[in-house]
Amino acid sequence: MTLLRNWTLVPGAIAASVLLGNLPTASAATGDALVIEAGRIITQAGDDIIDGVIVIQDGRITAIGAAADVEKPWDAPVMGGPDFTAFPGFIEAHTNSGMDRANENLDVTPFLNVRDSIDPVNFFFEDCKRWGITTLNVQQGNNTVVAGNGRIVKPVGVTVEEMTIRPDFGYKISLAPKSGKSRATQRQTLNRAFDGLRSDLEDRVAAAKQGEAFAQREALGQGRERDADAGEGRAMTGEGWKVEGLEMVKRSDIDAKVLPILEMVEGRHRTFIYCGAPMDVQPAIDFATANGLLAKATLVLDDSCWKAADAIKASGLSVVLDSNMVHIEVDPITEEETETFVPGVFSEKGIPFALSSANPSTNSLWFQAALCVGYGMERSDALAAVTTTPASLLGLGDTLGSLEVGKAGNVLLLSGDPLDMTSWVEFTIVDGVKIYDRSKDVRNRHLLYGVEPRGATAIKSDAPETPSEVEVDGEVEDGDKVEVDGEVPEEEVTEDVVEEPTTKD
Amino acid sequence: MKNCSFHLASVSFGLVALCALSASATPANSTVGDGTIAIKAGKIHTLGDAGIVENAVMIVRDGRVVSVTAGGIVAPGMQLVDYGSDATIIPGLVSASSGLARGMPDPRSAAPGLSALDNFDFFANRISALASGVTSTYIDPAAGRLVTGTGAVVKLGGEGREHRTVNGASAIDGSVAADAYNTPGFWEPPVPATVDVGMGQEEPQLPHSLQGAIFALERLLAGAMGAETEGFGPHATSELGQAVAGGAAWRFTANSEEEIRAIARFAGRNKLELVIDGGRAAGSAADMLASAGVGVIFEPTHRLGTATNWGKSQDSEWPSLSIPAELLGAGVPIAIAPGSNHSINSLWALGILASQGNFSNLDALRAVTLTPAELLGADDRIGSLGVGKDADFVVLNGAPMLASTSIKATWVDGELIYTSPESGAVVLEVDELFVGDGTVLRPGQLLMDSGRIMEVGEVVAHPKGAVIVHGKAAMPGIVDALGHLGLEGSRRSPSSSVPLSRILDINGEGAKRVAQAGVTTVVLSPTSLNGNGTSMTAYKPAAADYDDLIVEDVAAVRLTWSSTDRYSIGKGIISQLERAVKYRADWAEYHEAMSTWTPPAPVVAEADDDEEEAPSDEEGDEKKKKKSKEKDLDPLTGVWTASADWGNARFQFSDGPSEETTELYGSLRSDELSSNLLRFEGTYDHDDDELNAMGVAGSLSILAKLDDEKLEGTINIDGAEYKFEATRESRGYQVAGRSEVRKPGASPKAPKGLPKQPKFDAYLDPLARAMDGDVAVIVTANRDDEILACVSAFEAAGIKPVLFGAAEIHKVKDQVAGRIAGVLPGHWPLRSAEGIATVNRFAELQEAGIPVAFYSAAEEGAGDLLLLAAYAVVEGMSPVGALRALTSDAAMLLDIDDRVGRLSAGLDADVLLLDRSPMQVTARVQRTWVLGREVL
Repeated sequence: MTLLRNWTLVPGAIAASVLLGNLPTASAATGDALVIEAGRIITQAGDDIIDGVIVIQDGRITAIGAAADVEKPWDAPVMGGPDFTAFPGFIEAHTNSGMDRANENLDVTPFLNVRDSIDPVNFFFEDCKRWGITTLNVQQGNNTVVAGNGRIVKPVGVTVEEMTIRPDFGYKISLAPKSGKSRATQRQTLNRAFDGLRSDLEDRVAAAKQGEAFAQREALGQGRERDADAGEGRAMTGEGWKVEGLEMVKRSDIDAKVLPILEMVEGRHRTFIYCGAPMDVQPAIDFATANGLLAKATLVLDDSCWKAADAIKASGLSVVLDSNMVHIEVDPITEEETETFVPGVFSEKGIPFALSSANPSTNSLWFQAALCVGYGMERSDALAAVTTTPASLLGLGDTLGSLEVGKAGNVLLLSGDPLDMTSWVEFTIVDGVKIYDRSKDVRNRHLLYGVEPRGATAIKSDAPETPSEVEVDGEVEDGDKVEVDGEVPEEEVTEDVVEEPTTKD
Repeated sequence: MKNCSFHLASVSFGLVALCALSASATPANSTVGDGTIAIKAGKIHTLGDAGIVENAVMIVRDGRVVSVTAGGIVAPGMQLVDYGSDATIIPGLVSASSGLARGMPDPRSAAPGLSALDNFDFFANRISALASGVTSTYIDPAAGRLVTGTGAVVKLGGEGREHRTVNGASAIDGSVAADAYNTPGFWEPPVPATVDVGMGQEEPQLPHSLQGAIFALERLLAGAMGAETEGFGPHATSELGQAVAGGAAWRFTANSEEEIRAIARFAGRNKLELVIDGGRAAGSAADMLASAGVGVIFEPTHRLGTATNWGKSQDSEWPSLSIPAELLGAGVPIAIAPGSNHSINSLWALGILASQGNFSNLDALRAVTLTPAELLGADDRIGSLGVGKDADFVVLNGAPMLASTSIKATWVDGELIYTSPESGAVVLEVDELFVGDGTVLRPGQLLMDSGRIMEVGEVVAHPKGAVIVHGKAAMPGIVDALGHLGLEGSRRSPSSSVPLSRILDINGEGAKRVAQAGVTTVVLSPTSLNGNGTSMTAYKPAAADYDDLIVEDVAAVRLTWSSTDRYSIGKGIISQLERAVKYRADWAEYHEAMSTWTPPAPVVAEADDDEEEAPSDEEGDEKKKKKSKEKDLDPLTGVWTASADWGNARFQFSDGPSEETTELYGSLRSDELSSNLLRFEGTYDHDDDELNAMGVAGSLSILAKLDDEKLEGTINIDGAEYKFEATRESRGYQVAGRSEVRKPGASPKAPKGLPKQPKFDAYLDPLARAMDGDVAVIVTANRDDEILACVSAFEAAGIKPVLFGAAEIHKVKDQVAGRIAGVLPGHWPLRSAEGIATVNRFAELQEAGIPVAFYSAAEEGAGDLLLLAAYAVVEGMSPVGALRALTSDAAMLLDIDDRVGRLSAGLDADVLLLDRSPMQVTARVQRTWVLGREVL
């Protein structure tokens, strides 16, 4: 039996692994190496590799290829095996889960930061590991006008900093009305936020010019060289509107509450512009164009927005689609229903699109991609929409989205094809560290196979312990003692899995 | 999953337009041109310089009107859409108000910068509004503020946001009415709220009264002109300044007389262009508004379909629907628009309802098209059909803004957006409507639907989608009281046990022409009679399908009293009548017994037997199925159609050949070969699949071979040979649907004590029913003594017969009047009399109170009935009497007056449209409907 071929005891990990079977990131000691073997590696960068090996060092992939071609570090632990399929970690291009609240009550809040709202022990992140989502772009919700600063995180870590991949990443802008607003008042508020900043800056420049003249006259009158405090200010850049002479105003003098808006106009931030209806799309594009956001903007779309696909195509923007992928319309006269498969429209038009999952338990990204294939989309397009496309629209195409040398070691080891209903995520590896092992997923085992979590019997009422429970405890202990880095011990699984259902649900 | 459209990328409007176009029946002779469309209609109300154009053609290119001209000449190469001479075209309705873009108002009491366009969904499906004729509308961004924002005029159809925006800044929208007085105080939360900043408090906002509203407006306007103004926030005055500079009108809601006068004075003081909407009490300020040049958009406050309590006191202001008339009288431009209680789809209805008083339907048309367009600054594109205007128009089936008119189609930008589904209902509107029993309605209207006459009167309902037909006169379809149409030349005397309906067929050209000549019902009699009573079937030769063909399977039974054998005369009939009386009594007894008989309780064991038997039946079925797969044992029965270079043919094979027999019977209908239905019989060879048949009458032979579901062969008729190849259309032998006859025999397992059913007798049964008045008896009797004897004999049996022939009835007319149902006299209307050259027999009998009816005693000769009647009138018969003899009296004599003969609700919709009154002998039939379907 080759199953226990390579296993290592990782003493420090045992305590933490009790909860989820995951290794804390603290043990992702730099310099550690990991070798992943898989019967098939779907790289998302060229052809699949049969019987391949991935070598991850310092969190990055250093080698990938057929087993014969890759030199494995002699001291690195080896995971996987011929029964596994390796796949890049799924990327959630846009979500507002994982926070305690999605939105603030105020209309324009670019001074907020999701850092203060993300909850590392939120159940959501646990589910992300379970379903292989390794990268998430967390933005504030759509019930806003201009929302706070977002963040790209991985579902690993006990502090937000530990989870962070890109801090202070992107802002949410909504063209659809926030509750209590109409579209007209929404757009008026939005325009006033940007135009108000502009006229404010112009006033400041005018005042600064006057002050400058005054300072010069004063210096002249005093007969001294005036040492300008230039350098504090900075001229405006970007593709949108410009306030000439802004270098005369110290950035620190500008109201910090609206400073992020200036930075958006200068093209220094990504923006995620939400459209709640097709009627929002053209105004969103016009708004992005007028304010210089176009180069770094992504549209976050309601399912009905497929109707405005031509305008999106013309703008060259990429989009994140709603988790509901079938848009249903009822003809008001004939009452005939028309269903439109939304990603299909974008796929046909050649608009880069990323799929999103409503929540990982019901519509996880693998499911969304599988549904797309079910509706007739090319498999490659569907897989790209949950890996490479979201990576590139988040500006992380160089490091995420595919399994290539130099990219982050975010690898899923699946029991089968990623789009197969019967496939499981057996292991999730982020930055070369195993963060999820299905065989030790206490919750999964409890829900699916009725395995009581350790210690649950103590809480149980006065029911006497049955022999079977004792046996189960024994198994879990075995699992604790032997930290298996190879395949799931088959004997154990088969015992547990007598009544295992064939689908993921 | 319904209709999943992976490729679907076009917006819904495009789809609707496409579907509507393909479903449209109109483009009869459309050719691909340069995209120019010619639309024809009886009348076009352009509301432009051209006024009302009769017999008009509108040329449309690139979504715009190129010309509207009278005369109806269309250049070749254009796509022609002809809506017919009854159709009227008006400009697409312009709704001067709507809530389609109304959202949450700005927190400030004045927000001139708020744009209604931002709130309007150009992607939404507006087909319901378009179906109700509204093609453009004014939109406001909100309600309930002093200045809600900037309103716009948009089209509800068409492509592209820019094109559909007719006027993006139509008006500065606001209100000085009560709805503006509830503006909450303004409060902005401080960010961040700290101990030294505090939460702040609400800043109160104007207005809470009319004075406050006018004061605030003055302040705002002053601010817009550059004065220092506080209390409206940092943006309101500058935005208002821009709007004023842009030249937008001021459109303010004002309902009471004070509000209207106050806002009008404000506009006058500041020299502003003002439009008032609401205008509930505008009537009393009409003169002031007229002199100030202020237009009014009247929004009725009545809810449609709901009664409202308006207040009981003397001061309570009950809204009026005659405001438009009062304003128009004073010279105020007036538009009618849906109020906040109404959907935009109600504009058409509101335009009609708010036309009380001196306000014509053309005034109403203007009030929902051109005037709103003018008041909203959109008349450069919409509201009229002048040259260069958007080709947005509505096709009506009658005059505009009438309750009786409905919308047939809606076009936007020269594209058909909506076509109303044809309801199948037809409304006739004629100057004179002859009911058939002597009553005349002048004018008269008739509604027919689902094959029946639904309503007759001076004015009838006009259901949506009904086809409206105008004409001079209408009368019921003529009843041929005794005809032969349908016998197809047969001179055989059929047995009474075989109903005539078995031989009847549809689709004959002759039947169609007879119907076009006015005869819609024929009471069919065989040409030769049997001695024991010949059944006559009343049917509609021009009915569209078999189910509608038969009016009554046995409408009458025909007997002959007259005989050359004086000794036996009448004896046969008398004995038959006696037997019929007994037969009827037997049946009556049986029914009586049945009504009191109680069936014994069911025996459980029997049910078990049934179950045991059932499976064996199924086995048998399966065996049969297997057999039929191997070889079609019923290869011919049904309808076959052939199309060859010499013409079309339609075969019907009845009953066989089958497993048991090789014999076959059938008929051939081919207008090219013969004007009659050709019956044939012959044999079919199951092994060689060959058919060999000979005509029943005349020289006809058919030789054919069945090969792979195709029948190929030759028809030889009168020496000429025709090759054909026929395919099977249906396996069923179609027979006209007929009324149920009394079925003989009880079930084999009759329980004990079940009364015994009398034997059914096909000859006695009609006579027995005649005694109940269900079947007419037509007796040939000519001499006066025969007539008297015959009438007495039938009287004894309780039957009032219809006398056929009755050459000498004038001698005994007073003796038989009241004892007979009527007379079918000979065709020739005159007889000689002593001292007088001629007497009109029809008139003579009618004067004596004896109904008469015209009949043809011919096949397609039935088409001459109207002329027969006309000649009788020329020779002195009353025209009213002649009309009755053609219709209601004929139906009454034959006991089919519960179905045909009059124009009355509930009867069959057999209607003739005439070019003049049928009281004139020169009247011609223009159009014929049989069971509500026009015979074309």
